[in-house]
Amino acid sequence: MGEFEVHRVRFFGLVPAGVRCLACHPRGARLALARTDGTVEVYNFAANYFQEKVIPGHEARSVESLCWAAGERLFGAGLGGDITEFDLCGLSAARGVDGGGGPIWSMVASGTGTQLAIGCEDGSVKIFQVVPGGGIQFERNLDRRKGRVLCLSWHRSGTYIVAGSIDFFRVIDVASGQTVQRIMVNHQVEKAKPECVVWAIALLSSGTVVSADSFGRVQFWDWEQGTLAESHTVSTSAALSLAVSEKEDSIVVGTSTGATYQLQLLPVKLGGLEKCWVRTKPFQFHSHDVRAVAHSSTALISGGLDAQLVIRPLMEKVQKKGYDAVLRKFTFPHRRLVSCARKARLLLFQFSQYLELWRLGSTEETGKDGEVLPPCRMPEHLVQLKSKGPEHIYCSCVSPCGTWVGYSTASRFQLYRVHCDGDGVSLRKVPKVPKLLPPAYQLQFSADSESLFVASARGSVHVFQLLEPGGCKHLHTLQPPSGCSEAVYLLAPSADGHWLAAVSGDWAIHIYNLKCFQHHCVVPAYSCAVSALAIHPSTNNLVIAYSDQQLFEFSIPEKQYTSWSRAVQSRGLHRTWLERDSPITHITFNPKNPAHILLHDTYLLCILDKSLPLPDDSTLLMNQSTLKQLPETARKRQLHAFKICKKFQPLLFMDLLDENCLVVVERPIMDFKTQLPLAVQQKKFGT
Amino acid sequence: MVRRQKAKVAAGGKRRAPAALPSPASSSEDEADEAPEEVPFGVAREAAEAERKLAGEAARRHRELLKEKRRRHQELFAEQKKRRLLPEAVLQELQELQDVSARPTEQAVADDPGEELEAGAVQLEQGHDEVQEKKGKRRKGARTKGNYMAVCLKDDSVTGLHQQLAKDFLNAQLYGPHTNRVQASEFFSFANKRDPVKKAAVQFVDKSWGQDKKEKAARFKKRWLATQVKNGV
Repeated sequence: MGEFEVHRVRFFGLVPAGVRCLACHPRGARLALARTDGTVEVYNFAANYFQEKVIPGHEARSVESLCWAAGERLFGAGLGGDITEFDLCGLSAARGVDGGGGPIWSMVASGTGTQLAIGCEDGSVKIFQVVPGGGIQFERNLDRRKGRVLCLSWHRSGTYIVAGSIDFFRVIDVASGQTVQRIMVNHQVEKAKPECVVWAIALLSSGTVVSADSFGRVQFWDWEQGTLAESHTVSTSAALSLAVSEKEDSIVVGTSTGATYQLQLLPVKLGGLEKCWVRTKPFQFHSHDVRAVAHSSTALISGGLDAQLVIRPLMEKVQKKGYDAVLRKFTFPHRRLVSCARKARLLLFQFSQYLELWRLGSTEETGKDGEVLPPCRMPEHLVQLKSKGPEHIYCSCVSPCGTWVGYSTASRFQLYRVHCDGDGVSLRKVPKVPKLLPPAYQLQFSADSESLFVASARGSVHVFQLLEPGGCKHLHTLQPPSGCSEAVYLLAPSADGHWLAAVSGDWAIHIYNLKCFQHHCVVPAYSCAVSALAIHPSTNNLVIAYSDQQLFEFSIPEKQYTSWSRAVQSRGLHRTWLERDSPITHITFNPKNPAHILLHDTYLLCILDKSLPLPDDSTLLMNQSTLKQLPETARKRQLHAFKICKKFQPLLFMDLLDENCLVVVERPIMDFKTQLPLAVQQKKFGT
Repeated sequence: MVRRQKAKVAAGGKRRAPAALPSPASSSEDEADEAPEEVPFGVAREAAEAERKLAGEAARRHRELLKEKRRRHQELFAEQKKRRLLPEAVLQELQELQDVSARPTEQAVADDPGEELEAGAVQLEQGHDEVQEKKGKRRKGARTKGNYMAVCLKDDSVTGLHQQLAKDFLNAQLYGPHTNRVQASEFFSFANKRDPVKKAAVQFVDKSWGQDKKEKAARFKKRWLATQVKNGV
């Protein structure tokens, strides 16, 4: 693998926000997720559960409920009292309509997807119409009763809506708007206990109402008779969320302790007709409250306040035995939050509302493999740059020379000049930045720090020229020839400043010639999202990592895949490589060794040596430790191209500073778990 | 003798206000023999009217008092409202400004279109930062004097209160006294305790312990070093 001096950085204080609500797309291909800081993310299940879209949050936005309606439109409602439609092409919150009932606690779409019902703080349930062209319109109010409506569920046929509140829930007939039944939930509990809050509710097509309340009970009611059919106490703490499967024979419940339970409708006697609900599987994937659960056709999905999204496939639903049946856990975003200025040895950390610029420390000692070297100069926190306004940051970048820093929020784009004189660091804002339609989805500086590439909406990329001592001029706007409705989310400039590769939301990779500002070619279409790409400094080959862990190398001057890439594809990548959980988020190269490609994902970093043979499925992929112990001759026989190191986990960033120096940015999970909201005590035997 | 006098007084009293005075016990035996006294209708009517008038006056005074109070409150509110709005002249100019140029897009998108605007009222306190920032921008043809741009902001004082109440409810329900919440160090230390190799608790040392002592020590060290350097030199 080579000897590297590794700067092991653990001072990136990222605290991911907890997951607040989930919404599975009716046709099951996508999952929308909202976090407590207002960020909305969309995961594409077909593209190996890749986080394909991220809409950064807003200080004033709280999303309590998300739902898909009218096909591909995503709506969210929160305590601000607005119903917001999220523009997934432009990656922003498009329109907000005031609900008119105070903070909105829950929102549900009708079976047809043309209407939305919201449950408000003042106890009213309102129906809104989804307008086909865009936006929504108030239709009517249903019967209003005292008590905030915390959860809603709409019957599949659209006839009834059940609204859960504090101590009771009621069933409303949609056609007349009247409450037809009101059922008290806690009359069986002694008066000493506090009120019973119905956190989640579901109305099955058979007419059974399922409620999850703050006493940890999941209860099944026959609302027409007003009777309790079954009651299951799944937890001592509150049951916070509930999701029913499409076939209505399986329910997943999330609780305050971080445990999720599955309840299934099973026949009482084998082969009999009578069925009852049984609590089948308990899971403990989260350490904090599970406030969001979803049930897809093959998996149980839960999101907790510990910022984890867990997808647990159900064995009996999975068709083929393969990697689809494996548990998936996502904590960190699938994009880069760190940029590195190699020459200046600076790191720029992107938080949600500010940026931090750090200078790496240095050491003068040398040592053997595995030794920890004491630094002679500690890493310094140079500058903390707060973004103005309540919006969260979309993207940020630092130039390779370390003197330019840029970032973008939903409404502004700022560029700064950094001056390091002796001990002091000063930041000066660049005035008269060219006006472009915000936001910028990705920023990249060219290798010579003289141009800035800004990824924008509709597949276009703006090229700015950076002027000394601190100015910026718009040079050109590059656009794909056939038009594109989605925004560009990844950029890769070449080291010689000749080429630029841009990936837009429709997964098409366009390559532009920067000398004449013309479109050069399109990489052949592939059925998966691009998670990282980079252009080799000397050969101008574009290395692409897809979210299904495939690797391609495309020669830009020749406009075709390289022979090495064809060899990899015909051979097929190693099974262990394809079964990795997290996507590759950064690709970089070693200028001194053109055959090396360095890449990393959350759990490993890999140096790909193109000059060595590719491994086949029978050999061990992670063989670095075994190779170390072998003598020289035996080692040469067993060497293969993938040199993997799993020592640094979880990785947020990895880059090569110079020939023998690597920087890895880790974020150990325990480091931020102590900063999350309090968790419920779990009494364990013997403690 | 005494009894007779008392009885006479009692009888006289009865004539004047027949309903009011209860008959004293001593004269009961006399009254039991006598027939009830005759009271002319007019006297009774006058008495009742006088009473009604008194009650009416009291009620009217009470109503006047309430009206006065309400009027004063209305004036106070009008006063406060006027104080919050800008002076008339500025409002007029702003109205013209709005009519002439289009509203800035970013602010318009953020606003709730359903909110009512009172003649282009601008909440200066909330918009202070925004106005400060827009200094330097000029619109051609709209204004030549002054270099600010007025933007309309959402009036969210009431929604803020509702939102705060909702958040408080959520906090109380999830993190209130009856939930079994525990500190992070305690929660994560269980795993360390039950490991085959026992480790120290998570966050064993709290960095905020003895904060002032540490600061004092740092200051003393600085001073001491300075004196050492001075003496050394």
